[in-house]
Amino acid sequence: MRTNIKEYRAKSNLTQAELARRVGVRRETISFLEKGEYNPSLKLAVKISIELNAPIEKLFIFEDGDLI
Amino acid sequence: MKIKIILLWVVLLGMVTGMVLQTLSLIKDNNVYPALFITIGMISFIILITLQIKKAYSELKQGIPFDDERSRKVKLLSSSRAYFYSLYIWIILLAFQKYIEKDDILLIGLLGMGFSLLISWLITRNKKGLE
Repeated sequence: MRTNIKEYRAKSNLTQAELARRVGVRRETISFLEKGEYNPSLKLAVKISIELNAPIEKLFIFEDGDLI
Repeated sequence: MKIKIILLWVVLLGMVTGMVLQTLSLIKDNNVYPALFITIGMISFIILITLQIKKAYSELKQGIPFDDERSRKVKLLSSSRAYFYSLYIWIILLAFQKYIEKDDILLIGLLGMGFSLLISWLITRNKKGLE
């Protein structure tokens, strides 16, 4: 899985820390999410989607084989 | 959260008290070097824990949560792995109980449990693909 969180975050002029604070997680979690190294819960994914004003399917990209 | 911090301070106080008593007992028996070793360890431990608590508290003030979903998963995974490593440590220690003093077995076992949790946590917190 890869994510476009970093790009959307930059468009919203938010730092990792600020986004983390708004969605109620630690900054490290946002960092892992941006690198695609952590699969968030649905609740967190929706919170990020709302905060960045972007659809979930644009934020989290599953490639072939990821969903198996 | 405040209750957790208070409980942590109570546990730390208990540990420090135990170490102080052990140090005094060693000094009484003229075991200066072990007493010095424990004192240095105790001071280092107190400094480290105090710095961690200060950092956690200042993060809380900034609205950064102490725990989030990922850190809870890391704790759960590292704790479960440490539990299994601890079982193996105790089994090995019991296999060699004829050659090791009972007090030493207890000390090594308890330190081993703590150490296995620390190592497990250090490995798990940077693990990729945590779900």
